Amino acid sequence: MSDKIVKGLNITKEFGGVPVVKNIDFWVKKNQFLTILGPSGCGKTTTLRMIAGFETPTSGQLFFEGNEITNTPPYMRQINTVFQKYALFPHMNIYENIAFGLKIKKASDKEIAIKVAKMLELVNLKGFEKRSVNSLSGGQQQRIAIARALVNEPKVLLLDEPLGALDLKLRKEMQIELKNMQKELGITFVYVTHDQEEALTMSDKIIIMNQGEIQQIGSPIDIYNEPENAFVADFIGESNIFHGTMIKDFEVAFCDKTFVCVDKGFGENTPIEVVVRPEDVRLVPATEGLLTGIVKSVVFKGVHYEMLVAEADREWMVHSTTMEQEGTLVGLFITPDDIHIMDKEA
Amino acid sequence: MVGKWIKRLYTLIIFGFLYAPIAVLAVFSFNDSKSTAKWEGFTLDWYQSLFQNDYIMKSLYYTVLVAVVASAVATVIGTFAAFGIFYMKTWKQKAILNVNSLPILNPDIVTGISLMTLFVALNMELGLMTMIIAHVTFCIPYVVLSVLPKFKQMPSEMLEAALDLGATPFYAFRKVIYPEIKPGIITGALIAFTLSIDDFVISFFNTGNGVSNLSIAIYSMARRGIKPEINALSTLMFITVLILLLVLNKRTKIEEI
Repeated sequence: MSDKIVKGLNITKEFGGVPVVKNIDFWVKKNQFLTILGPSGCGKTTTLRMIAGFETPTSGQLFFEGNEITNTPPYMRQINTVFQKYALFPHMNIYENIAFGLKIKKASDKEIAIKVAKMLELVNLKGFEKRSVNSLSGGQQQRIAIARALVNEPKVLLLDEPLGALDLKLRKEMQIELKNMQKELGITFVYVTHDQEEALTMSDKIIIMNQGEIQQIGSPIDIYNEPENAFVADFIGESNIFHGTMIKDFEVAFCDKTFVCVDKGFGENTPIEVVVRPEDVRLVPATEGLLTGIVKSVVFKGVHYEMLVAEADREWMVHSTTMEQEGTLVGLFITPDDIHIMDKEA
Repeated sequence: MVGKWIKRLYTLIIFGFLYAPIAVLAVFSFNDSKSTAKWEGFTLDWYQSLFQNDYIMKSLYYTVLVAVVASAVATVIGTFAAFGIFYMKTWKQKAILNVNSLPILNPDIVTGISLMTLFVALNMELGLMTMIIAHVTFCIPYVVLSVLPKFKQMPSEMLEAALDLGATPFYAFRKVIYPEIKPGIITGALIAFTLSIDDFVISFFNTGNGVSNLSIAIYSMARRGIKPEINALSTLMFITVLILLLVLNKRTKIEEI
């Protein structure tokens, strides 16, 4: 248990009797980059706020390095937060903002000056000490917010959709920078986002939440390749999801056909759901396909074309670098590796 | 063209109605005669005798004392009340705000008499203390209403950010919240001070033991006939309140920028 720095046991949070987080268990390992991913209102921010201490769980227990912190106020926790809207103190200059936490800890002026300078260098804003908060752009303010949190050398840094207000290009740059900072400093990051691409890019581990419940916990690769249910499959990237039946181990029926697959252990003749990623479907001449369909629409997406293929009464989404004309009869080809089997949702 | 002149005339008449009584009052406070009807020449005698009148000077002292103490206490209570109200859940916040504005809409005479009834029921002797408590009571809602918008203008999660960085709630209030809401607090204090100086009805019912503020003094003197001294006193009060109002207006303008 020693490497589990934060642990939540049976955590439930209700607001006015309405459960927002429902009996979840989770842990964060030391030096891990953990992302809590989910659509808005799924309870991810509430979970983060409970770790920070801004909310107290209705029931359940929270542990930090093995000690219970369920009711510890935020100012007694060795955890710092980067807020979505930065939450910098507008009446203080940049130096005073970053120095805020150190002053409370009664650090000497000299120590504060050295640490603040180091932090400003880390976030690439050297020489900004005397600037006012309002003179900074959104991206710069977020860097200061990160510096203000990191200067306290927290054991865990919580980030609540910190890049949500930035434009796409800046967001991509900051994603890489944040990941580098986390590796360099060796601090545990708990990151909340609704952006699945962001989660896949940065995380060591992802917790996917929906409607207050954890849907899946795993590495980005696991979650992408082996989604446990249709929600995860749908939320992480676009997917073709079909109802099907697991005939026996390594054999599955869907789309009125029987396929060989790599999954087992679902029992015999069990109803299941099948996920096929759009980039795993290959378009081949109609005679060579396992299934055939007609191309209904083609959209150019930059790296690839996104095509919708009508097959019987179903639609397949296909990503391909080569394009087929609308109305063409094409064959669809998938290998056993491309078929992902999931339990059917109740 | 004609419309413009009519508009101007109309405005002039309105201001005439509003300020003519005060202008007359002020003019006759410089009248070298006991008459309040006929101009007999300029004098400052009434102002002089005003400052030599022990009763008036004592009332002035009580007025200032009550205004300073009551506005200070009301500002502290009102500010912390606004702090609490701001961090309440929506429906609770609405309920409390309605309760808060009730005393503002309540007729002064009802507030005054109900406070008096309360003090009598509690066996408290009416005097300076009860007057101060009464003033604190009717000032608090105004302080709350002037401080609360400042909380709402504050960037979100300010308090949480401070707590997160290790500040106790009190330290966070002092270092982070207070600088943000200070303009609202000062405005609230000025409103409370003005209202306290201004008040007659509530003070009248909640004082005793020979403690009277200026408005009560004017009232009791006026019952024995209007003397130019009263004109002089009223003029001074008007100017004081006017200055306070100008300061308040200027503050609001600066804040809007």
